[in-house]
Amino acid sequence: MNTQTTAPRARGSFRINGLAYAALILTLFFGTIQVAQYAGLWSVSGKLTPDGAAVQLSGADPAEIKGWMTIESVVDAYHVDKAALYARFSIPAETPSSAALKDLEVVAPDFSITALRDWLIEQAAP
Amino acid sequence: MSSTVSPRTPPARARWRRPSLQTLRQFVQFGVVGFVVFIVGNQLVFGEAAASAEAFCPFGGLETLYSYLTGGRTIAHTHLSNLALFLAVAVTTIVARSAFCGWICPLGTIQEWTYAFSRWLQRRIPPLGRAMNALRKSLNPRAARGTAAGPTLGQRIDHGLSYGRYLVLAWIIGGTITYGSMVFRDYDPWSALLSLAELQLSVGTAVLAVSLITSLFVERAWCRYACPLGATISLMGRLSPVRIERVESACTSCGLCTQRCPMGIDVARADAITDLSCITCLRCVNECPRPEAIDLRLAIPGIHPAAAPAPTSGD
Repeated sequence: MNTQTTAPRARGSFRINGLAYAALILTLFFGTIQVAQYAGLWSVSGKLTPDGAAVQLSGADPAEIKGWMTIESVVDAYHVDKAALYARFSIPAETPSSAALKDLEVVAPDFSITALRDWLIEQAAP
Repeated sequence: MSSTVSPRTPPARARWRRPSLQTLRQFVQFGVVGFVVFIVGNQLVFGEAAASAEAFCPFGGLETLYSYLTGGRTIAHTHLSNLALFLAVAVTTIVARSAFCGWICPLGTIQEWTYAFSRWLQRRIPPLGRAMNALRKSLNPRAARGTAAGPTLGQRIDHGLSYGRYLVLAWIIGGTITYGSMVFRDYDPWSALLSLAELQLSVGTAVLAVSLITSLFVERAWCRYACPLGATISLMGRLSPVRIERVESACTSCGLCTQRCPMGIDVARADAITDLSCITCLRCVNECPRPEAIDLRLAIPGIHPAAAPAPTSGD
């Protein structure tokens, strides 16, 4: 009778050492992140481009508007009337134009970034 | 066949080597949680000048993927870093199966710590320990083994709830594509945990509380029943050539592997662990008293060990 202490294992697969597996996981995960960073696919803030430059509103595409941007920056970039914007979204007159868009929903229930984008598209239409 | 394999204690080297792998896993998990704590602390100190911890969430990458591919833009609250992290998770998963869940995910780590705290309490409060033991028996897949009674109520509930994470994933993908925003953010326990430092409470805070309380009784409850990233990883992991395999002839059927599995997989009754819930934490491999009975293997995806060519000689 065979009294082998190692079970038969040739089953179309190969054993992976646990430590090698751990090294593989860490290499794949953090290596991919490194490659992405080198390739420019890395930015941890909507305020900076992958090159580190400050994001500026071009005024060409309302989709680029983000919540951290201010009323003033939108008015300047899209050349819209500030009073009309305040009236359209029922923004209280005492709200400073330096307020961030993401904070407006609290003081103006009619306001949302999506609604603002739609309104800007309407304003730009001939 | 099992009679041909004489029982033996694991060699001293194996006994030393195997626990050290779990130590390494816990070290990696601790490092990732430490990094997240650093990011959150940084944001508390430096405010909006520092990167948000949400920028380091890989699931945000999946949520913004459609918007990025179709319009070249990320949706609100996500950045290119989210996409890069999701890519890293995808690459890791396709090569090394669900290792992200078992080795890196900080929410999974926190649930492991919660369950470890529960075990610590159970050892000190005997009535609690007995009640938890009864619950574990009810949930343990081996409990009904060899009986004609079929699965217990606990097993049925556990099995039914395990589909929950796919429903959550479908809702998020559908909602994100339809509305172009992060429909899950308000319910996300991870986002809620990061916001706790700023004393912000939301529906997600309640989801987080329920998840952690449940993790006192069922290990990795959020991972098992509701995690959409885990669902994504488990589906992608089917492509991976890495899997855990058990050798029936070397197994003593002690059931330790099944008992130690944090995801409730019946490892002791499987030849190859292809269960979508497996997080490749390797606890089953480490706990096995017979090092040759269970191992991590590199195999062709979709090929069952029993269908592989029989050995011509032992290796």
